[in-house]
Amino acid sequence: MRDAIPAIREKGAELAILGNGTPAMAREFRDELGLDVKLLTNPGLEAYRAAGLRRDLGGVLSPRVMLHAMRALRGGFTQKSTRGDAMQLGGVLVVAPGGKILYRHASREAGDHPAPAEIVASLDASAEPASPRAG
Amino acid sequence: MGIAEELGPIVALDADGSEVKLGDLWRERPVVLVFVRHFG
Repeated sequence: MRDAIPAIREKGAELAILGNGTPAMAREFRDELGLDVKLLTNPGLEAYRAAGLRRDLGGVLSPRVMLHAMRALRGGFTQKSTRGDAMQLGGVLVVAPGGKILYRHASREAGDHPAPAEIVASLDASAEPASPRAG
Repeated sequence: MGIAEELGPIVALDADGSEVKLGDLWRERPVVLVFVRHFG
């Protein structure tokens, strides 16, 4: 996703990351990844519920999760100790000014991430001009 | 109620512990809001 940041900004949008640990955990995360994006946390998980994201044990222990984890390891990513709610699943929302939802992906299980290109493409909908009027 | 209407008034904390209303994120420009399972 971090590779998509320039493309997201090119379309006039911004990336924000929302986690569920403490602000100190958010700081560590930001410093480790060297991310120049807005980093937020919602320990009460209200935002996750409002976005309709799942929270269950099946989503973090399924066999497919092991495949995702192996793929991530091959890519050089290792998960360190869990900093936040271990059963909460993630997702992605793209929201336009006015509150229109341009894109929504609710992870079915840990490691189920959408393709960054799909997310970037959804931003085109916000750039479309209003329908021309006859007359 | 739509997702954005429900999310908008929710207050999150930034990395410095300051409060941020989620609706402010998309007030002026579209936002790609990534919900991570946990930090790290």
